[in-house]
Amino acid sequence: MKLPQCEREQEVVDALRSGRWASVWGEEIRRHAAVCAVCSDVALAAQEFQREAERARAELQQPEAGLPSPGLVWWKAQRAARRAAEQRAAEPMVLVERLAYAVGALAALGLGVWQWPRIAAWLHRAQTLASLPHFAPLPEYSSRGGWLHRLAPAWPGQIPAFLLAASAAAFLAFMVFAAYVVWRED
Amino acid sequence: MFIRDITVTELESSKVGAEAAEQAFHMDEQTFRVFYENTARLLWSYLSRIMGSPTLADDLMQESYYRFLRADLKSEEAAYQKAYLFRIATNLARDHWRRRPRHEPAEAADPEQVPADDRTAERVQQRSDLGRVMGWLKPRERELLWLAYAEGASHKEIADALGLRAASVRLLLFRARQKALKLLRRSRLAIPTPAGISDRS
Repeated sequence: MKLPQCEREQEVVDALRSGRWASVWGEEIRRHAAVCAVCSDVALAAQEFQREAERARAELQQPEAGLPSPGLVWWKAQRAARRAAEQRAAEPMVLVERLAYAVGALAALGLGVWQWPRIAAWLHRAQTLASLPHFAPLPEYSSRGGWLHRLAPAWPGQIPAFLLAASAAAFLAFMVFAAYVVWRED
Repeated sequence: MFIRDITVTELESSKVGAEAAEQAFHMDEQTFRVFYENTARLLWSYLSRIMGSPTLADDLMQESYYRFLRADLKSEEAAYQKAYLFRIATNLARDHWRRRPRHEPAEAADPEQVPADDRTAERVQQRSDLGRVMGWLKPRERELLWLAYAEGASHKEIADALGLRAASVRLLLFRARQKALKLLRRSRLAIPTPAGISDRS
């Protein structure tokens, strides 16, 4: 399909925008548009849209409307840029903080598994105390902690070594990462 | 002690970051003021008409200027900068349409599908004929038509602003124009004919 087009489309739009269309100097382009289907449509569309643009400009003149001052836009842009820079600067800190929480939780869990026999003994003593008439009954620990009981004696010699190695590796990784963050910040 | 050290470090890095942010703008305040005075009305009109909401236009305009200031521009030519600003605004408008929840009513696709509740009817009544037709057009059609006929932009300028190939603009614009005029006629809206032109419908 051949696209209907006319070389003078832009000229029609420009004539309408500049006001030349309605003046005596616009007579020639008006005569052309009267016989050119493309330019006739362009003129109709352009007139509608330019009228709409005038309406938009009129809306801005109303007292309750109006554009913000350039100073305000500049200030807001500066504030947004500052906020973005702060966020970027704080990103590694947040990451290190989260990593520290994860390492801490892992260490606590490891410690719990490693020392489970002692914890169980302590809980047992607590339960014995609770069975005395002056203490309220405590929940049964063995049903909840039973799997730890089974886990802890399973590797009697390996657990401390394994935990030590894992903790040392995690600590080393953390320190390397922290050093990298400090170096990057500098 | 540790916490105090971290706070001071953070404060220092924030200060450095803020200074860096100010340096990140590619123009100074005075140059920006001139640029803003030359473009703000045009940009607001464009956004308010393609979005169909002055409030949204306000929000997107601020964000457009912020992104423009932070952009890495390849030229200081005024036409290039204006096209770049309009491109940013267009992309923000498209992001907004993409993010719009599915349950939010979109603009009616056809004049006969306009909902008839009182508030909508009142709102539609307040809008101009073309304002209503804009609501029935696709976002890209609105963008093309506004830039071509309200702004008087050339096909190359439209291509730069909308991120299209210049060769595609002619065809897309032709289709959008035909559709807009058809909708105006179909909804039996009076199109005052410019002097010397007969309406060919």
